[in-house]
Amino acid sequence: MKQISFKFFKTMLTMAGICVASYVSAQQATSGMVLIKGTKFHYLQQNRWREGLELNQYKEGPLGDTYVEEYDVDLKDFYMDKTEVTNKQYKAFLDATSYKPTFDQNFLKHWKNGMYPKGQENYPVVYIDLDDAKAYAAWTGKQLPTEAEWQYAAQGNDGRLFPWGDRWDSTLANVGSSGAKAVGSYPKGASPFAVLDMTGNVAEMTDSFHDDGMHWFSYLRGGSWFQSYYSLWYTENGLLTNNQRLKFWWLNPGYNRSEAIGFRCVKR
Amino acid sequence: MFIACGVSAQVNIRAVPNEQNPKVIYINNDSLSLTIQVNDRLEVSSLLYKPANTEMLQAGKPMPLVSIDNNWTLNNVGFGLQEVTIKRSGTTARLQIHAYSNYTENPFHLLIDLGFDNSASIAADIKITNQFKDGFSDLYRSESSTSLVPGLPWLSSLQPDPGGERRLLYKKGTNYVLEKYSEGVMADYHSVDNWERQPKAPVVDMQYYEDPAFPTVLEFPGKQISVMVDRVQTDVKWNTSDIKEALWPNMTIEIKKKDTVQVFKGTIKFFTGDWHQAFNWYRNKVRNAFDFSFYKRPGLAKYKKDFLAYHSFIFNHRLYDPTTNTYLVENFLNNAKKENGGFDQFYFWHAYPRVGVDSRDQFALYEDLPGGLAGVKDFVDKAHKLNTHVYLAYNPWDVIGKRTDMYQAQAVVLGKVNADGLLLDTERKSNTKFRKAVDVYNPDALFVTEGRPDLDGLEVTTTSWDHPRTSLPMPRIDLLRFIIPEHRAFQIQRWDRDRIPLIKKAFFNATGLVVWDDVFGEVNLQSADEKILIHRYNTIMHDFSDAIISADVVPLIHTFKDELFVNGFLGSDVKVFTLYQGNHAAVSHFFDNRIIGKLFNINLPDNWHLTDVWNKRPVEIQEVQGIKSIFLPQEMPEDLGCLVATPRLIKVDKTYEGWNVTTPGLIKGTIELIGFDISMRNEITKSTEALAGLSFSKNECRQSADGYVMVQYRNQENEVKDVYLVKVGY
Repeated sequence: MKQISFKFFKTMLTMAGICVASYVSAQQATSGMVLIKGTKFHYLQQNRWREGLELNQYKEGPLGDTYVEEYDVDLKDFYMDKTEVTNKQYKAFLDATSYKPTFDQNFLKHWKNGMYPKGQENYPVVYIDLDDAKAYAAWTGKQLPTEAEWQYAAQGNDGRLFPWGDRWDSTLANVGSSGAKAVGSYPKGASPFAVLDMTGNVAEMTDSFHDDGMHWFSYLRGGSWFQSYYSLWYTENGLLTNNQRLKFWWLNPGYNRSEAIGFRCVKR
Repeated sequence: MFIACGVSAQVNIRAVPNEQNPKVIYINNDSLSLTIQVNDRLEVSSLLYKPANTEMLQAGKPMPLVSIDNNWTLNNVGFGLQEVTIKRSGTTARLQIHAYSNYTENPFHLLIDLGFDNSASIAADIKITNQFKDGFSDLYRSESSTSLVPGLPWLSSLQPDPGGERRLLYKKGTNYVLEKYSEGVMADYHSVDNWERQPKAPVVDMQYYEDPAFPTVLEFPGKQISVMVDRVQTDVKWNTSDIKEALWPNMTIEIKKKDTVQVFKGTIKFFTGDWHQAFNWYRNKVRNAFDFSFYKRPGLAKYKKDFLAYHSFIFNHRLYDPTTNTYLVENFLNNAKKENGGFDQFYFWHAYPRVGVDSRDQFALYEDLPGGLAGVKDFVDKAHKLNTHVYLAYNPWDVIGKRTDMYQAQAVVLGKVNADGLLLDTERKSNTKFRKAVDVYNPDALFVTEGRPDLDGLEVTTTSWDHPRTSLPMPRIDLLRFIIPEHRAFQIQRWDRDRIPLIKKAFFNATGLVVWDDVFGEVNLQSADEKILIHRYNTIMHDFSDAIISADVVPLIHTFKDELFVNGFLGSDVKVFTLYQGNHAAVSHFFDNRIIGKLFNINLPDNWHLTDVWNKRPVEIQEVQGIKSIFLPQEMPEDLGCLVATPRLIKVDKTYEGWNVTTPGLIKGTIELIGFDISMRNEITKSTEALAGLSFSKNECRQSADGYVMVQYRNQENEVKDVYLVKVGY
């Protein structure tokens, strides 16, 4: 009986250990993420006219002609990275997997000898393309957010233009500066779900890949620190509202990897 | 009675009874005889065009030299007071008339200055000044004393051929149109309603965007007389969008007290013929003042026979393979050769709409292309091997790189990749500073502007895009093509859903054409019909390019069929005539408005012959009393045709088995037997060196549906110099 009791106890301990480990693993898996409860989200996104648009609904508005996509989407619960993926996090991925892109032109261009610049461990990782981002996401068991997930996380359900509200405030986001900043540098610019840097800093890739038979493209959200000026012909990667997106053609890797584009992940 | 008689060597101005107080003024030279009644209406009572001995005014209907209309109750008080001055200088003379009224209601003074030499031209300088006297207190009169409607009734009522047709070539918007008038003469110059015009579609639309303005031309086809009105300067906004107002201002203008308005300054010229003479005069005027230095650069010769160009976002997957990260330039150009005859030019567009995502400007982006600049150079080298020239895009608005000298930055890139020139995005012209920067690296490089340059810009920019907002229907000719044929203007239209009219225009004008089916990521693909038409156009342009790029070009040769339009490209050993039939779809056999029979006169040496190489149909030359005409025995199967005239260099004789082709004399080159595939493109079935001659049988013939094959001789420069149509039968 003693043996049976011991064996039973040992089994119970093992099972408890597994539960604890699973719990800890789960906690680690969603560490640094926020839980966003599912909802019926009225999704309205728009972008200014730009050549290369597909067939969105055309509307005239106060800012001029726009193309609008609008529908309701049922979002299930998901976790979202509170911040953009950082250099440190990406380094951990590289160290664990020895990932090397097939075409490495401009891959982590700003790193030297496989290391990010000193003091930039918490800066968003840049000079990575869609495949590089997906590789990281796969390693972490996560995914890139859909546009609806991204926008809901930034906007909530009240249609606000910016994560903090409807009025633009340059003290709440990194837009029009000389470069990216450490993630979380603008805590007062948080979204209703406490997600940070949804406006500015780096433009964020989403899970929205399209192949029209002649080109590859997806959509970037949030805008970045870089604001072009002087000409309307420049593509708009500066100040973007929650519901605006940038059509981004996936050209060659050297083009695709940019100082102003990063990403964050979701876990469903 | 003393009759003042001033006699210059060639212009005779005589005032009756005297120059101090004339009642009638007679102006005579070898070409014109003009009579002016010096009365309160200052009327032209006679204008005789002597070479045709034709009175240009309607008999018995004197017309005022200058008229004004206003809203006064006392209208038409006229200009009863005149001061006349006649000045003579060598072989020229001037008649100056200062006419005004003693009625205070008419404060306007006419200042008319007419210059004459021995030609049929009148140099006219007409001003109106307001000499209203202050102190006159009547309110209604003072209000009426600043506005008037000026006119030149004698000019707008010319009608040497009562009841006959009149045509007017005038500027309508940004184009020039040649329209017909109905019968009818302005009986009363006060009433514009007598100008009846039967509105029709323009006979032809001629586009030319820039000044100097093309003169207005009034044609009287029945008399073979025309009048050219070259309006050089005016303060009045002549409303040339309305045919009624194309010959005189006819709109209310305001002349404030003490102000002067230039109503007209320019030349009015009478001549025998139609508007072509005016065109030649205008072309000479433009060309004599044009600096052709850039066009004479020897290195530009290699671009003169470029016709078909391709413009694309470089990351279209027909051009770039993302799975291998490589350009597909050879694949693309080789496929294009099969599909449309091949591209002579390729516009390498790499920056917009990506530029602006980050701090990389257009020059930095070159480094991030596949293989960087070396990769672009490899692209260019491969294109060159396939006989395609490559142009880089230059975006002048891209300043985020904060470069101090963008011209230099662009020139360096051009030199490193060995490109053939630059497409100047959003620009209508360039400048000598940019030219000099580029010359350091490649003095043969071309500038191509997206917009049409003005005349100054044309001197530096040797190629441009003809890029209207929308294509307008045929027939349309590009006047610039015929005024400065050295300048290459390529037809392009990015958003048309149907580019058939654009291709037809490129063919009819024998200009270049840009294929653009990937507009910065938005795709507007070509249809199969468009590709076939382009292939046919491309073949003609290249086979007969010597004639097409010649300087001897004639727009809209006079034809005997209203709806047939013909342009001529007259090389020394090959002459090409492009045809467009405006009514092809609407031909009715009830009215028999088919285009057959005598088409137009032609001046060809003996021993020359003609072939319609577009429709693969025979064409006849008929000669009557020394005048040769083109005679079409059957209708064209479509609205386009291309007649090629060549001397007979090869000889085709029928044999029992088939045909023998021989070349009398020693001629190098190639003899080709051309068969036709289902899309009517030329397919070389058989060829041989010219000296060997060629034999072929019926079995070797891929015929057109009506039984013809084409035999042509191609010289060593790849130019077709003789074409024969052989009827093979079924």
